[in-house]
Amino acid sequence: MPRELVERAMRGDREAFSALLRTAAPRQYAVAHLILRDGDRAQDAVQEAFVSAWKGLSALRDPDAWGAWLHRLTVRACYRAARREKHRRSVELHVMPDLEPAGSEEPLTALLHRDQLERELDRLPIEQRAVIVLRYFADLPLDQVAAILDIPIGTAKSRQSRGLSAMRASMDASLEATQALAVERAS
Amino acid sequence: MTPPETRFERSVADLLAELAPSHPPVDLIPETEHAVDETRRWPRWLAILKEPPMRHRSHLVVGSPTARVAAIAVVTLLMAILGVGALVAGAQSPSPMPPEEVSAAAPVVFDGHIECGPEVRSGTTISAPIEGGGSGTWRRGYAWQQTATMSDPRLEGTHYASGSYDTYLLPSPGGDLEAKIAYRETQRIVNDDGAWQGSMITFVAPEERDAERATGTGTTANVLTYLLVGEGGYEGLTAIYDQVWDGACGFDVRGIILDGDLPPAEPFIPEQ
Repeated sequence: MPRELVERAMRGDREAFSALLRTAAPRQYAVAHLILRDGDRAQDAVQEAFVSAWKGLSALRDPDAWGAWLHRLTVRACYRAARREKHRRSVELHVMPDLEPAGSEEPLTALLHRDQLERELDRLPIEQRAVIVLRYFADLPLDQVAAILDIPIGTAKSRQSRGLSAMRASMDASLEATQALAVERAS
Repeated sequence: MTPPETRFERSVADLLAELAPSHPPVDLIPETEHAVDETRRWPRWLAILKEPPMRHRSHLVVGSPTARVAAIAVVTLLMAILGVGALVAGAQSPSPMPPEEVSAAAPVVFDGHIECGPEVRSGTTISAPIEGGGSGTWRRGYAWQQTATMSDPRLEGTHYASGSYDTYLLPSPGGDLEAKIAYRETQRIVNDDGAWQGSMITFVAPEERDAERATGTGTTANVLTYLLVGEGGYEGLTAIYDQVWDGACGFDVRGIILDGDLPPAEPFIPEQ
């Protein structure tokens, strides 16, 4: 992120801030989309994050920290969006794929693997999902993830570990069930 | 890239890359730009007040955190001092005051502009949970050197501002707890002929301030009133002025210089 743009924006230059916005918005939208698992709410969260960034930019002491701070604002906006929507309940429809048309077991297994991972990602508490997204999508080391989320690194580690464990356990259970079903149908 | 440690972690990273939208919605950037255009920036003190401290790569990039224990100690001590002070003040009888003569002298009117400036004294910022819910921020000891242009040369010079504040939770009319910030700022103006010094306080809910600013309907939250007392060559003079936030990092100033002090507001205490 060009330091000069951030410095100009810190001095109140709206054009510089727009340039930062155009550069960073796609990535922030992807992060918000993964955390919230909803396009509309992700759009609102990103908009809220950039408005917060503009309002509070004079609190930023180091222009090089712009990216990390923006991640923090985005995640915080996602948390707020999630709280606003917490009363909503979605009905999850689990569909067991039809095994008959599958050409081979490997693509089917991969498909199930991916679907189950996605489903479990959706089921994770948002605090765990935020750690997973920042760590494995934004590709940030865990100490930076902890700094962005304003939590101790031990908490970040445990959220990462719990999130990964839940995803793995669910995926393993699903694969076992699918294999059992395949064996049953073959016999 | 920071390498994922296991095959499973690579699967997760691959999944996230696959699920992530490749492009944002077409209206995201223009709508966000529009929202930013409609938004005024916070002055530095408010921005620092509202932004929780953040460390990045081992150094402080936003705010200035310290231990929660210190925060609780500071707040507890402050509340104890305030409580004792209130008890002492309540126990004292007011001394009778002579009637004041009404001054016929017209005040000198001035205006000007004060712009944010660099920090000249670092302080302490503590963010910590508040008993009852949420979190609050406590700041002590910061000072900034501001840039000021005043129509009255007596108020020109080097301008300093120093401020501290605490966050409190109190019941709102609806019954919920809401955060209020009690902020005190002292301004000092120094020039070759003397100095001016005085303070203002404000007690605001950050959310109310946001709403007022967003809709442009704000009044009290955007106007800060100062009373500065002259020293040296300005001994016996009083400057009273409003600072109105300009939407960026500065304030428009308008006020008066009085010869003397404001008339006292004598407390009324019924005779027993």
